[in-house]
Formats: sequence, C-alpha cells, structure tokens
Amino acid sequence: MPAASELHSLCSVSRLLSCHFPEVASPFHSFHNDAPPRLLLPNCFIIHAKKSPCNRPSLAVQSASAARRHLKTKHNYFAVAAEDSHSSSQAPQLNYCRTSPDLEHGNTESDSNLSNITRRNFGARALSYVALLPVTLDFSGCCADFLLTSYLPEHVISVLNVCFCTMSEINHETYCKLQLKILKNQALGDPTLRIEDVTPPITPAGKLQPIEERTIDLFEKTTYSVVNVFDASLRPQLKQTGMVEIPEGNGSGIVWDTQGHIVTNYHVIGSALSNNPAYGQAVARVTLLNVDGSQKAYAAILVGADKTKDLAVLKIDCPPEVLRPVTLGQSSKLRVGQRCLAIGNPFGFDHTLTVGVISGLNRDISTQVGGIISGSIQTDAAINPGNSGGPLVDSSGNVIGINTAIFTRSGTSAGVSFAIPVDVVAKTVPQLIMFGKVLRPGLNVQLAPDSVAKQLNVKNGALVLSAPETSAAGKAGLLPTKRGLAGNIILGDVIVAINNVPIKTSLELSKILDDYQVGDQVFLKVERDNNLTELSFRLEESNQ
Amino acid sequence: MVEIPEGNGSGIVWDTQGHIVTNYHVIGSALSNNPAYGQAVARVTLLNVDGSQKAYAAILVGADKTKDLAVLKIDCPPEVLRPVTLGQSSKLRVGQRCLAIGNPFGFDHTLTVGVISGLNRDISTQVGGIISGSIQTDAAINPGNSGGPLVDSSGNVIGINTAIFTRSGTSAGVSFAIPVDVVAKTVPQLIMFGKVLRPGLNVQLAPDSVAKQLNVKNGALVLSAPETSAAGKAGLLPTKRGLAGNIILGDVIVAINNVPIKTSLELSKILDDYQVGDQVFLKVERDNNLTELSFRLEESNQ
Repeated sequence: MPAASELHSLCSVSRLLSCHFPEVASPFHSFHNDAPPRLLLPNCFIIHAKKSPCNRPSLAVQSASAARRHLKTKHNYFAVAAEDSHSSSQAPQLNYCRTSPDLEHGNTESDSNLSNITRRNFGARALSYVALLPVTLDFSGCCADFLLTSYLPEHVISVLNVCFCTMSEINHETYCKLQLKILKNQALGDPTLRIEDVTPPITPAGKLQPIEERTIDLFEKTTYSVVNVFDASLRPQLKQTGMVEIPEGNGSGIVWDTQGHIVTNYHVIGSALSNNPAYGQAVARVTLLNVDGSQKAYAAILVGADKTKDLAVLKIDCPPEVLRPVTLGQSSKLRVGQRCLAIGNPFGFDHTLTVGVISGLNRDISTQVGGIISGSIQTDAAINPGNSGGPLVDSSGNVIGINTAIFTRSGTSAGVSFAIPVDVVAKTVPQLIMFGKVLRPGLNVQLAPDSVAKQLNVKNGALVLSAPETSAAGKAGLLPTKRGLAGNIILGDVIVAINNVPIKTSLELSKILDDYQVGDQVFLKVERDNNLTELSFRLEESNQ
Repeated sequence: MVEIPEGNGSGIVWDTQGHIVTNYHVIGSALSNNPAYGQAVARVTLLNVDGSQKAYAAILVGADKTKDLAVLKIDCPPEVLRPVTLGQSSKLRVGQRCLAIGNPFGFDHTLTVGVISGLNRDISTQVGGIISGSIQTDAAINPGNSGGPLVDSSGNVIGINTAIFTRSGTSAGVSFAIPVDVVAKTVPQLIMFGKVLRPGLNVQLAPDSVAKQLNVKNGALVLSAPETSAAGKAGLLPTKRGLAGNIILGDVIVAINNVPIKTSLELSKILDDYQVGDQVFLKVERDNNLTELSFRLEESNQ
C-alpha cells in the first residue's frame, strides 16, 4: 500500500489529469501518423502536452534491466531525463515522486543527482527510464527522444506533458514496430488496483452427491474394459479434433476375457472383413487403456465374425494382468427407465462417457450390414459414430448391451440409439470363439420378403420362393413358387406354423428359428392349394 | 463441424461492478469492426429476481481471441446483479453431473443436464485458437449456449460452454467448455488491461502436419525467426531454401527449460504457464547437434 504522502501525490495527479487533460488515448486505437499511438501500459494516461511547444502526446519506456546495464547501477529506480531541444536555455525538468515505499536501497537521491547521472553517462541524447515502482513523471515543457523496447514493465506509471516531436524518422519507425504498450485500467478507473483485486474468489470443490459418486465409480471401474478398435485396412486420417470426418473404421470394443478376446461390432471392422481375411490375420488395431493412464496399441487378429448379429470377436496378444474383462448382466430383466451408461469413442474422443435411460425394449432394428437385431435395447444416451461396439452398462456396472446403431438424419446422435442385448451377445460370442462363426439353424430355402408376399396376395405366413433339393426342407417336399406355362405365377408353399407356433411373416419365422439348434426336429404346417399339409425334417446349418 | 454464425449467445455475471463474461465468438461480428474501448458492442438482458427482464447496453472491456473469451460491462445498480461462484476445474472427475444454462436457439434461460463425458480435450475454436484441457459433456448444448456457464452439482461454475462437435450444427451430445481455471486467469487480465499479456516466442513454427512431411518427428520446427523477436536475436535459425532449391531445415526446438517437447502444440501449452519476461533456455537441434539458446520471453504479437 502506498504511504500517505505518495497517495496524496497520486490523487493530485489524478485530479490534474481529469481537469486539465481530458484527451486520453484508447488502447484500441491503431497508430496512424497523426492519431494517438496505441498505448498499453498499466494505468498510464497519455495526455496532450499542452505546455509543450507542439501538441503531440508521447511516452518514454525503457526496460529496467537495460537501464540498469546502461547506468551500471543497482538502483531500483531511475529518474527520467529529457532533453529540451526546443529551448536549449532551459534545463530539463525532472520531477518525479515515488508512490511506493519498496525501494531496494531506500535512498532519496535528489533531482539534481539523477540528472547529473544521466547527463554524465549519455550526454545530450539522454535515455529515459522508468522506475520499477509507481511514479509520476512530469515533463512540463520538454521534448524528448526515446528508446523503446517491447519489454513490459509491471508497474504503474502516470506520465504528463511529454512531447514527442523531436523523434527522428528512425526512432519513429522503431516506435511503431516495437509495440509501445500502455495498458489502461479504465474499466475500474482506479490505477492502484491490482490483478488480485479483480479476481473473484475460487470456491473449492464441494462434496459430490451419492448418485454422482456412483456414476464416477462406475465409469472408473468400466473404462479399462473399453478399447478403441481401428480397422487396419483403412487409411488413418489426421486425428485433428474439429473438421475431419472420422470414418466408421474407428469404433469401440469390450474386453471379453483374460485371454485377450475383444468383442466389437461386425461393421466396425467391416472394411477389413470384406477382404475375406483368413483366421489369424491382423484386421484391426486395438488400443488398451492401462490403469496407470497410458495407452498401448496391439495388433488384433480375427477370431470370428457374424454378419447377421453384427458381432465380431478379435484377439490381442497381451499379458493377462493388463486386461480388465467386463461383467455381463441380463438383458431379460431390464425395465424401461433404468439408468444406463455408454462408454466409447465418438468422433475419436476416446473413453467418452454418456449417460441416459433405457427408452424402450424389444426393438427390431436392421443393421448396417444387412442383419436384423430383434429385441434390441433403445436408449437416449448420446451415441455417435465411434461408439459402435462399446458397452451399454447398467447402474450396477454390468454390461447389458453392445451399442450398435443410431437412428438419425444427420449422422450424429438424436437421442435414439440401439444396442444388441447382452443375452444375444452371450450366446453368440462363445460360438464365435469356438468355431469362428455361428452355427445357426436355417431352413435353407428362399422365403419371399414381406412386401413381395403382400403383393402376391399372401396375407398370412411365409411364402417359399425356392426350395433347392440340397436342403433338408426341399428334400422333405417343400414346394417353391414357379411360373406356369402361360407365364402366370404359381405360388409355392406358405408356411403358417412351425412346431404348432403360428407365424404371420418371414421375420417372425427367423426370430423363432433363433431359439432352435442345428439338428432339432421341426414340423412345418404349410398351406398348399388351399389345403393344410404338414412336413417334418431336421434343421441343418444355415448356409448364410 | 458446421459454423453457425453466432450473435445470440449467453454470458455470466462476473462481479457486482457489472462485468459480463462471454465467448469471443458470440460478439465476434462486433469485434471484427475494431470497436474502441467504451463502445457499445452488445445488448445484455438481465433476468431480475422478480421475473422481469431488462436490457442494457454493454461496452467492451477486453477480448482474447486465443482463449475465445470476452468481457463486457453493463451499467446497472449492483443490487440486481447476482455474480456466479467459481469452482475448480482441476478437481473434476468423469461422471460428475453438470448443468448448463443458456439461450439455445434464442430460448432464454434453458437448463440442460448431463454428465462430464471426458476431460483434458484439446479443441480448436471457431476463431482459430486452441483450448487445451477443455471439459467434454453430453448435456445438450446448441448454438446460443455459447458463453454460458457449465455448473457442477454444488452450484459452482466449472466451465464456459464454447464449442460443440456436430455435423448438423446442433447438439450431438458432444460439447466442450473452457475450464474455469483458464477463465479465472484470463478474465482479470481482460478487466485490468483489455487484453491478455501472453508470452510468446514470436517465431513462426511449422504446423505438425508440415513438420511430419519434412521428416521432423520430434520437436517444433522453426519456419521463420524475425530479427525483431527476442528468439531471433538470440540466434534461432529459420528454415531456408538452398541455392539448388532444396529446403534447409531450421532449428528444431526439442526442449524448453529442460522440459522436452514433441510438437508445436505442446510448446504452446507449456508457454501458457510462463509470464512475459521469464528467462527461457531452449534446447534446439541444429545439423544433428544440440545447441542451447537463452532469452527473455516477450509479449506474443498474435
């Protein structure tokens, strides 16, 4: 805090400024020849020198360290000297006052001593100095030549009546380039204020609510089980946050077990899979997050993939202790409204947590790769491209689904996204690990899509389009649709029930077959020429 | 990402003197006209506790393009102002609840709620700066939310909502906020000085993509080092073209004050913690040799 006397001087300076020198340069002015220069020094006001021979404002600044070097002195403050080139008879005025008591030597050198110093060392062209401490400089009636640097002194200066008119061309240019700076504290109007005075207090972080703690713990437990899966066959784009389109080769996955199996969506590595890789071929790059925060990338080989269920299993070769497998939940016990968390890599932002509720259950969704997920879980957690293959977790930390698809017009989240239920995943993934594919039972006949069947006037049941002799159903006598001699269409068999369960569409038939195994005996009730017939055979493996 | 012209945004009441903090890009159009200090640049509407809204002319106090922050001042009685309380962004954890209040699409004082999705994200802003350490949230943030607060469950401001990652121009559940620690360092400088005193090397560094192409894998490559800058005076060598037209690489900065740096982005992050006038020792690679340069940081001319 300045002492009383200094404060008095400052106040008088302020009054002086406001009464006599109303023109103040704005920090946002740019420098033109006649306009006031752009000046940014703390609490400095540039005033037109009314008493000087010409009317230009001016200012002198020199770095304190350079001043010290030149003067070869350790003094903490320096006087300002100015040469009067307009009236050489007059000695330069040198008025200053100290506004802070913190001087290194605490000396009180008189004006004349200081002016002697400057004159002695530098002759006619005096360098001007600015004290390290708040000071008022009065150059009444003087003109000066200045050396300027861009080093900003951290103190308060008030300058009065300095005239700039003697500046030579060179210095003028230098002055423009060297960014003379005077920052002005006009907002508060009080030059004694410091940064600390305008910084509001920071409130320390409060206690978190229990539900927040829950979510934080869940995230911290589960995040190490989520990996980043990058399709190896795609050219990696520049990972710039912002403008770059992240291709769907970048997705998420979950650590399935301690052997290094990673479960993800088929379409995440769809590009690599379309090249028909052999077992054991590296198809993706999987990045694992360690508990110490570091990330490590591994080459992942393909173990198995199922296009229909949009699932794929990869394997990485890494020590078991870094793997944190997920815990699986039960999707049959879910209820709409339950909280769910999704962790993934949307747009490449790895290990992003989004939270929502279960919006709906038992949704039938067609996937990117042409399959249909029946019984999928709908959620409003923000799921975006890059989240595919990542887990959907309930409030106990168990995985209840694998995020797979979003319904959107923009390509990004609209709050409607779907996950493969964990019961389906738990049935599919072991088969993928054991056999590399899913042993799915099928009729191995071609059924008409529901739209075609409607057009052909088949309102109830699944219409058989073709039933090759190689299939068990064909061998059992299932009749296909044919063209008659006259070119008309002779409808084939229409399957209306399977094992006494009536079916209305071919979609229902495939849902029912999901629960059967290869080798199960089935009894098909078919409609043929307005009669009901029954066929029986053993289910074989689907050839799709 | 789609650029939505801002012009309607949100702001927070900083103190009882009438300072309002918002994003630079919210008033970017007014700022591009180079307003003088004290010129009205925006209209700020305050909600009173009795439910009435009152509009004030806001003058510009200070603006910083790099951090995408701006401070305005309105002239109104202190008793109607309800300043925010600031929190600490260094103590945040992923999964914490956060609330955002703003004016998306012009719907004033809209509350949206979400969790902190991620921390320490580096985001490039609309006006060309980079926010490092930003807070990612899945609360619904849309155009109009910019400049508004992100608040934790204790009611403390933990960030200023600034950018969203989207293809449609509207919320996709991925949005970013400037952390309050950065705001608390920047706004007092804007109030005091009208701008931020940021130290800089004042040399042109190659963007990371260009450096990779020139086979500089580690460090920040110097493209030009003008004589007017302290670094140039200290002897930093720029990249030149040889007589045969080949490129002669300039100095590659590999460490600053013994902290190794790999990219020019890391270098700017490190400089954030320095002050103007600090002495720095740069370790540079020149012709496969390590040299050291030393100079004082001056104010960045950007």
